[in-house]
Amino acid sequence: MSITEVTCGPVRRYVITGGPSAGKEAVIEAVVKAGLPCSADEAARNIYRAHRARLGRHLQVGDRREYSREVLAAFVAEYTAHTAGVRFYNRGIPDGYGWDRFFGLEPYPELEEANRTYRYDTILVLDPLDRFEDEQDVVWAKEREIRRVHELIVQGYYDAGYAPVFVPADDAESRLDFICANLRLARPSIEE
Amino acid sequence: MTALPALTAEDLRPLLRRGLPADGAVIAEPLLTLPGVTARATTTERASRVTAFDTLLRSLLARFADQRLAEAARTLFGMPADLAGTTLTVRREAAAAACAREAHHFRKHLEPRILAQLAQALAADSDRLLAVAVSAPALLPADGPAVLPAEVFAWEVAEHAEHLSRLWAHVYALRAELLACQRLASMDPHGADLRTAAERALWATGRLHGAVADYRRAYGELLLHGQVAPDVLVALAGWAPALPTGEVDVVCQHGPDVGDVRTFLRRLTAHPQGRAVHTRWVAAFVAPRTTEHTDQSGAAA
Repeated sequence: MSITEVTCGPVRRYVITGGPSAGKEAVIEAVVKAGLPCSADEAARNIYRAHRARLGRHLQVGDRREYSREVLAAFVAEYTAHTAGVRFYNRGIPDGYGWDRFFGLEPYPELEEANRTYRYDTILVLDPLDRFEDEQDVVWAKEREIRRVHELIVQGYYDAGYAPVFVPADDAESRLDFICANLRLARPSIEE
Repeated sequence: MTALPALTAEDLRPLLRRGLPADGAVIAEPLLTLPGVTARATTTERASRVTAFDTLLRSLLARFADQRLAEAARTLFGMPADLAGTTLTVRREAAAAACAREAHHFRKHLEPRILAQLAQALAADSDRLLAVAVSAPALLPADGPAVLPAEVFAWEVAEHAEHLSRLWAHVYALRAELLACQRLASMDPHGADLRTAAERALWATGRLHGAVADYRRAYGELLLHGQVAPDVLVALAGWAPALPTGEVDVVCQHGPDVGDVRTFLRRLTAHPQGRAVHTRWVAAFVAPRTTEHTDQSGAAA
């Protein structure tokens, strides 16, 4: 795919996802640095901070559904705002399935509906870095619950009807090379 | 902690006949009770566990560790769209071709290896997802500060770990007080120290029940990823007199989580109900003086 197609061609939406400590932020940074259109910020972060600030405490059982709906609305807005060319997303709508499952909640109707309506072209799951000894966050990545979140996110994407592409643990640049090769995508920063 | 069932290649062999999607009629029951399956299923119904098993199998095949056999493994199970629904013979021949082997050699030597590796991967996955909620969180030595990624999943996982750590801290605090009661009951069953230890145990019980209530407000009636209610942890601390729900409420209403043990006892015994709970609790630990004992001490002689 040429650079022109990357920015002006048919709409293509690619999700980069994975559990915490999958090295997602580093890959997103590499995508942005390569000049590929990308949602650098994870929308849920600011919504979460604002939600907690509004409540004045941590989220409780009764708050989680409302929070999920706010995040879903942000993901849908991010999805519909994109109208031409390629775009990478920092997590996608089906991440909501993994979130709900982590807290023992059933998927809710709006999530199911959004999943049917707003479909991504490719899901890229970053394998955990827990065996990638050069990463400084390896200690945290070895936490059992972190791995559980990762697996529940993967399950969520299968439940949503996707067959994810698994990106092996490696440094961010090599993972971007893998992603671009898999998507047959030119890296603008390399072509220039 | 639930013991993991031992998995072998033979447990997976029946799945080869039809390939994917995994046929619920031939999936061996132990496979559907794997922690990695139950953790992914949305309900405890068999149909939901079959779906979860199918998904798990697909994701393990997609991440098959042995790269020399990865494509053959996926082909054997009919993962590529053009092989879905084909016979085992067709898939086996395609799988043999994918790793450049003759079909007979593949069936005799490589197929068992693929199934064994898959069984191993299923067991490893289940070990990772095994519910450990009724064991105290494992402590690992840290060489340096753990870097928490700036994202919501990580924050929530960390916060849940905080809740669990506090919960278990209170379990062990109560356990220490109950052990002190046992020791003192053995050393000096009528001494003042035993009475003080029993009062401290009541205070620790109230604090633990407070932590349980906090957990339930945050995460609901069961420990996340376990099948037990957080209240179960109270019993793990050791033997203590049973406190009916009403009495737990009385103890918790008098602020065991605020101040020290003296403040808590002053508040508790200022009310008739609290006084009754306190008296009954302490009496359960402190043995009543017998006539024989009184005679031995000389007080009544």
